Amino acid sequence: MPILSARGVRKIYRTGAVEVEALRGIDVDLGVGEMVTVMGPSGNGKTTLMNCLSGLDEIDGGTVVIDGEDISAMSDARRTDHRAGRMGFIFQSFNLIGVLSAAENVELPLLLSGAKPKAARAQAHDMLAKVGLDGRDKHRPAELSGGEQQRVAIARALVSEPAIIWADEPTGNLDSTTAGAVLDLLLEVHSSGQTLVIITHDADIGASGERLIEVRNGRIEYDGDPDHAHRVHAPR
Amino acid sequence: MNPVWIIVGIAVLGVLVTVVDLVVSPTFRRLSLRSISRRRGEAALIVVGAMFGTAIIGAALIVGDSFDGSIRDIARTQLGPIDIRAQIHPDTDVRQQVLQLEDRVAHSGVDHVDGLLPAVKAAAVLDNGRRGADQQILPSNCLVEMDFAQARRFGADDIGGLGAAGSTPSDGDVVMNRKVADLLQVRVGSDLTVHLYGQSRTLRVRTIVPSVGLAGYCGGLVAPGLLESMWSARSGDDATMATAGAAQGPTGELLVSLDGGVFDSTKYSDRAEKLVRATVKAGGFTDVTVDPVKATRLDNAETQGSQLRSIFSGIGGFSVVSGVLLLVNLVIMLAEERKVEFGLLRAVGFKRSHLLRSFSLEGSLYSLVASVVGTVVSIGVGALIIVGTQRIFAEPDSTFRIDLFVHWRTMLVAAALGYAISIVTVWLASARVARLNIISSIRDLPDPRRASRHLGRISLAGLGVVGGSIASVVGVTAKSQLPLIAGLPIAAFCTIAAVSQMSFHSHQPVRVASVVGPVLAIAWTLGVFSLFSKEMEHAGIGVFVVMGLLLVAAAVIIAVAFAPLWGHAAAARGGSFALSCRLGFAYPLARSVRTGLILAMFSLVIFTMVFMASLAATIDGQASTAADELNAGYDVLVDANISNPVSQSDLERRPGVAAATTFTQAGPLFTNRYQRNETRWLLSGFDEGMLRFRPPVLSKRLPRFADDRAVFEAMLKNPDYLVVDDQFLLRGGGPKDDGPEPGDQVVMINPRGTRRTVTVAGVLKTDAIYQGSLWPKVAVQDFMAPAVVETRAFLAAKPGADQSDIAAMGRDLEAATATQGTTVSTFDQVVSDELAKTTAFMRLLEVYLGFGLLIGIAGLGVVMVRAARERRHEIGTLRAMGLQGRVVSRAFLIEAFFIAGGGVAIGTSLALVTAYQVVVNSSAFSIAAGSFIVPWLPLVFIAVVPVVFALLAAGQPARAAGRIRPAVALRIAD
Repeated sequence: MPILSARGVRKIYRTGAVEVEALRGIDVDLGVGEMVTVMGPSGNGKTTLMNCLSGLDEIDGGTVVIDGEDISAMSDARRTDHRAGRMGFIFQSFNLIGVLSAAENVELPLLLSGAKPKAARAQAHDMLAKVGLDGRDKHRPAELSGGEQQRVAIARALVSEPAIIWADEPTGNLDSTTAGAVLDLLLEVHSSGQTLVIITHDADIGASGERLIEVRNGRIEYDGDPDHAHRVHAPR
Repeated sequence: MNPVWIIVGIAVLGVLVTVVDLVVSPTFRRLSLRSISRRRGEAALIVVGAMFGTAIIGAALIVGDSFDGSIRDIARTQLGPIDIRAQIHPDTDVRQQVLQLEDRVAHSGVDHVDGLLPAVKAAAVLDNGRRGADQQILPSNCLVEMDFAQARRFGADDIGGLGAAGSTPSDGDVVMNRKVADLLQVRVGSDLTVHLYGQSRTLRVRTIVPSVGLAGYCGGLVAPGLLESMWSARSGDDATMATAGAAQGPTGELLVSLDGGVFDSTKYSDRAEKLVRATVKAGGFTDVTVDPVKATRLDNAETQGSQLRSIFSGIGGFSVVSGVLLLVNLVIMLAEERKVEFGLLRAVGFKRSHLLRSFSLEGSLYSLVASVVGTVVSIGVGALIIVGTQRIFAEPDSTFRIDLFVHWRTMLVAAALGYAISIVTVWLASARVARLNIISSIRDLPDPRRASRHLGRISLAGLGVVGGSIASVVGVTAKSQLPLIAGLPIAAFCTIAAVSQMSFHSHQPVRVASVVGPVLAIAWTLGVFSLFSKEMEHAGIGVFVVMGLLLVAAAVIIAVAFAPLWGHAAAARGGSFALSCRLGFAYPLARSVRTGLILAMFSLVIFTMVFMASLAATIDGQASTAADELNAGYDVLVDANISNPVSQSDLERRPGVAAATTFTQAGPLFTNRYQRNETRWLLSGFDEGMLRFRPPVLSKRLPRFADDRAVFEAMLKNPDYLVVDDQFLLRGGGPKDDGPEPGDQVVMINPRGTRRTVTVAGVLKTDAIYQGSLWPKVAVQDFMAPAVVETRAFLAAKPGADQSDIAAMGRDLEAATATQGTTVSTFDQVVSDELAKTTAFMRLLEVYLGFGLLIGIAGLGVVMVRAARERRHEIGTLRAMGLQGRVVSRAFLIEAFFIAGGGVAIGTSLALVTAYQVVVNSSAFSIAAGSFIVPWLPLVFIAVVPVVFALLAAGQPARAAGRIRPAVALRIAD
């Protein structure tokens, strides 16, 4: 039984009279505890796919069913609640709230789920310690390095133990050493049984998952074993 | 050099730079114009916010001009060609004397005289003669006799107003001016009854002429000889004689016109006055008063205009400072929003000066539009104030009214002031923007700290600490109020600035400095009135403005330092509201400078409004106390026309009257410690009758006297003492820089030029009935006769009479003596009316300050709109994480409430404490001294309305923020 099942998902961007069909009927299922990497050229719909499947954006056609509920039919408020309870996000540019400290950023999802402030703070400390940021909890994002900021973002995404974690280019802004450390952290997350979807340009990361989805021109071009994908696209 | 011209110079420079950059530099032009057109709504909001500053400045100038112009206009409507008046005091045959004086002056060689006009004038009650509701009486007007043919030759220009008046009135005729005719509702051919010297005479209105020049000099122009014949006729029978016993007879007047028109002849006035005085003396004329009437009137106009201008500018200064704070905020926000863009521009080759000019150009365009629109709006604001002022000061029988005067020069100055303030703010902010670090700007990171910049700032702050301390010492030693009050707080603020620039391992030293420094500043600012009560006694409006600024600055620093505690307290509760609180507090606290500026903007205006409301309420509440302090135990005040006074014996015979005491009144010239110019001031003569029940209350007296009664009793025995009113020889409204003190030496000068030095034995606590200075009746008569009248009396009702009996007694007396121009009022009424004018004026100032609130509210709206845009990405993240839109909206509203509510709390609490200090310790508002009244109702209004409007202003951006779609806000590129 997939945790996420999308059928015929379409997304059209409208700018004045111009319409661009970003997703052209996507069918995809994500299994529980699966690690999926999404690759494809820039501007071909990877992030749009993440936005639409996670409920960040509305879709123009099709259905997205998560845990048996069609999130595309939900109101914005319900969909928001659903995101708060079931999903975690990691972005390329970290997207931490600059006016909050590391601990305050991490505890936010817990508070959104109705946790008591003291308990939330304690959990945030634990999570920061897990990602190797013990003692940095009072620092604001501007006082942290890029790698540290991304660790905070990962801690924030994991703290409420969401069913699905969406990571959009999580290492895109990091040097190779830090990127490697972050990837190790994500793999560790996956090993704990959470579904992890990583959108990436990095072929190594793409190959590190159990399943690779390639998106081109708003369609899924490939969905399968990452090793096989490499063979398919290898230069002759 | 006049500072206005410096400011105008800055404005001209700003416009020139703007025009040059627009014309010469297409890059700057393109960047600026496109930035404006890209966000037109916000551009409009910025212009509106900045525009209020100019509107407030312009309105203050227009109010000054209007008072100045309206009072000056009296020179045109009531004097025309008259520049100097030599007044021969009542005696027999004043006509003959004035003709002799005319002859002497004509042959004395006084320069620049272009006309002499002898006249005879008398105070009179004018009555339209009808009965019942149609009857109109002007209780204190006048009649004048002059030869019309000679009057038309008087003065070079046609400003006499008698061009169409026909021949000199004959017996039984009167020529009237339009304003007085309208007040009396008479037309040509109507009857006009004049009452003077215990007689009545009915005249026919022959001609009504425009109220200009000589025609406006008195309500009626009558046949030569009429006034003297009526004065002579007073001896006709005993009854008339008794009534007119203390009346002042006709005065002879030699009117002198100098070269020039209405307003440009005063340059010859000083010299001509001296020469006329010399001629009077050489001719052996006694009891002649020479007055440069027009110059005095125009000087008075200038003084009044300038005082009102400074009152409105001073009060409006708070709003202008708010406007500046708003502008600084907007420029900082604009800069932060475009930080990446500026970094890129620098990276591709823009120099700092290019960035400065480009950003300044945009700010200058906003400022230019704002100053032009603000100037136009200021005319409307000024007109509203003038309408309000007309209502406050309208007198039913007065021909004087305040009209709106708008001079193009004033408008230019207002526009230049508004623009200069804005452009200097923009330049300073742009200079800060131009110093950005390229890399951190491009990466949208905070600027790295630079040691050299820190050292400079620490040195500057150190200089401020030293300078502030020195200023306080100078203030104490030189008894100078502003350095005294501001020195120490400035040193405290600079200490905080210095500490915050130093590198410490923890934030604790900065936090401690941020609390201890402002607490010291507040304690000093409030305590200085108690510690240095003597030095601060006559604090002027500038001191209160500075005091407000210091207190608000200190309180805002404390509020920002303590605010995290509120945030933590709110967040500790848990739930979505707590989350909103956390976000609502987090943003303003993270940008403490910006938050401090907006908080200060709100606090300043609220401070001033509550301060004014507190003083108004306290003054209002003093009506009955003040009446008791000045009534000497009597119940009603009676005033009659000087040509037709009611005698003491007649008053005592009236039904219901238990006792009466009368006062003689005269107008000698005075000089004293702070008034070196000879200034005419009212002198009231009293006798033992005034002390029958209890003496008027004094606020201060010489220590040698045990009580107030002892002062008055000593004066009756020894007229070397004088009691003066609290405003003695002070001109204009508002708080004064100086005032009378017991022991002051005062020089009195009578019409004969005799000088007498007396000592101030006491100062009246209040003088809402305009007694002026008090001196024994006998002494007034001896020193000032014959220029003495006896038209004022205090009456006491019979024991047991209640308020309605007293009112009935007053009505009966007024009806019975209407033709004597008698007005009867209870002391409570007179004081209430006077205080009502003061408090109404203060409320008018509060309304004027309301424009400052508009700045605050508009500013908060702009800040919130920009905040929603600036935080778009973060809101997107929060929404992605599952934060509901309503929680985001609520966070925005909580932020707005924190600022507006914080401003209200700071402004209100500080204003109440300050007003209390002022009332208790300063003699500037002596009428209110003693008891302080909290204006609860206005307070609720002042506190609630701004918060509600601030929340409304923040409502739209809050809704917009809540509707931000996460995927769009995150702008995640594939």
